[in-house]
Amino acid sequence: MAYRFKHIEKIVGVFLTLVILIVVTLVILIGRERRWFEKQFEYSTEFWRGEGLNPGLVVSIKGIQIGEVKSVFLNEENWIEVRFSVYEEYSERIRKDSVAKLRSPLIGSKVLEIIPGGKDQLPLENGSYIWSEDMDEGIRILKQKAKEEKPDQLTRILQNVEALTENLSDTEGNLEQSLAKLRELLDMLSSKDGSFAKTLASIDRITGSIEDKEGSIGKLLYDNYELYDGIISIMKKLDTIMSDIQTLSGTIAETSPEIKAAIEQANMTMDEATGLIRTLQQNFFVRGFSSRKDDVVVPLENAEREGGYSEGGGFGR
Amino acid sequence: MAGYFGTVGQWVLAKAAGLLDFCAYNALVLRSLFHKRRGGLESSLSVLFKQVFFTGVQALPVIALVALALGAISIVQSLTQLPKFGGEAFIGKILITVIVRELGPILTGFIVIGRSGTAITTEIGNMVVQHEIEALEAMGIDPVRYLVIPRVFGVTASLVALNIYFDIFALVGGFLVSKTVLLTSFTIFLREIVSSMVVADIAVSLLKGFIFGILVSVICTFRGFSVKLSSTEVPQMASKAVVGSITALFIADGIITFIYYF
Repeated sequence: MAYRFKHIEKIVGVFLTLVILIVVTLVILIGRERRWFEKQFEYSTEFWRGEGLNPGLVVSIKGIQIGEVKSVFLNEENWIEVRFSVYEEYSERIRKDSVAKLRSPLIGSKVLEIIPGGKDQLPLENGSYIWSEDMDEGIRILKQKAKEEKPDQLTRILQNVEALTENLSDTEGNLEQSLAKLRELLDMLSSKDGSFAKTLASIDRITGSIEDKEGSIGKLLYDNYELYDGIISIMKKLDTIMSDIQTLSGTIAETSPEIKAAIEQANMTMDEATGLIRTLQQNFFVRGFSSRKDDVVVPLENAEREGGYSEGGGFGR
Repeated sequence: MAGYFGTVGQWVLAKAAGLLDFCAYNALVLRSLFHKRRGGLESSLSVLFKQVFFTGVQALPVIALVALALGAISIVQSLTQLPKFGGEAFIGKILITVIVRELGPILTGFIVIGRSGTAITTEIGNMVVQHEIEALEAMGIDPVRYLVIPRVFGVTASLVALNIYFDIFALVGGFLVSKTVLLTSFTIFLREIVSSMVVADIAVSLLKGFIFGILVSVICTFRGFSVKLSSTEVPQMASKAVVGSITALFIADGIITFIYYF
């Protein structure tokens, strides 16, 4: 070997060479992590507003990083033009119907979310332009994709909230119509010449009369408990009457068998009397004194059946 | 009152004169650095290698010990404090910011000041006292070129290298604790560290090491040459070299961090 190194020089050489190796290794590892050595595809899009948009922002599909924002600037049409790169392995997902939208996670900076294109569409070339959620075409594609895809629960809730807010903010929507009707109703109620005002005036007069002890209601309400005392008195009397009736009904119930026997006895007597009268009418000597001739006599038993007595309606039955 | 103002005035004038001397010394070093002069390269390289060996290689065990402890402490503190507010995801980033960017260069600088800065000041101060500098000049050897330039290069290279070693040992210390507490594999830990690291972290660390190395070596050699006649001045100058170097380190660290973030 042409050079002869001292021991100290060798140690220092190793010491410094190791440092260079460590630095180079670290730079390579960082570069690999940041995908410096991979081919990247660039695309551009436009947004109406650019809050939170800056170079270095993560570009993702469904939460997986696929690239990063390269530049953000205000173009001549006053739209925010965003240029971003996508790693080669994900470039095929950027298709004609892909849409870029800004997503704000709960923690951290915003994310440029790419809605991947359909498989029936061709992949976009490097440097192509894709629609954003702020453009009519982007909105149309997003709505179409929302119909086609089965959304998760959170997405469904967000879609419902979006629809609700759209409905609420719609000037010709149900809420606006209801509010207009309510406004008309309130105008009508607040009008001095309206029927509601007249009704209120009438009610006011009536309540005034009542308070002045005028009319029946007024007298009833302000009679110093006269009506109340009268009702209490009547109730006491009714109570007494009811107790009397109860006593009477009890007596009748106790004597009902005797009444029945008396009635049967009376029936028998009446039958005998009827037979005797018929015999007398047919008698030669007394026939001329009778005013009723061939009169149909209804027996007392039949009379009982036809209306005098009913099942369960008699005394003591 | 007049005496008080006089004392203050004298102190200010002395400091201003010292600062002017330091500026003139820097200009002298720069002139020697860029002045093309044949001969003496081999002896200067020999001094340079020795300086790297004493400042860098021999300081490695101390650096390793401090770095391992710091890495372990940082990880333990992060693991106990960050989960309280859901910040586990930032452990890697905090480790990188604390160790690689801030504490690594500063602590390495302190160790180099303590070990080599004082040695350089004492060595040159003793050479001044023993008229060795005059002897060099009499032999036609530029003492700045022969004594200062190799030490500036040697200390700067050593500090940059030690800074990288410090970072590596601190991350290893952090990994050992992570392995004990979290049962993390080395691959996952390395991936977490590398994903949290950007090239700017390494660049800032190297830049700080480079600037700290130049400051420490220039201040310590300047203090060595500040010794005049008595050997009792040597420890005084060594003390001033340490204080001046630490102050310069903090000021430079603040300026670099300020420039990076704003």
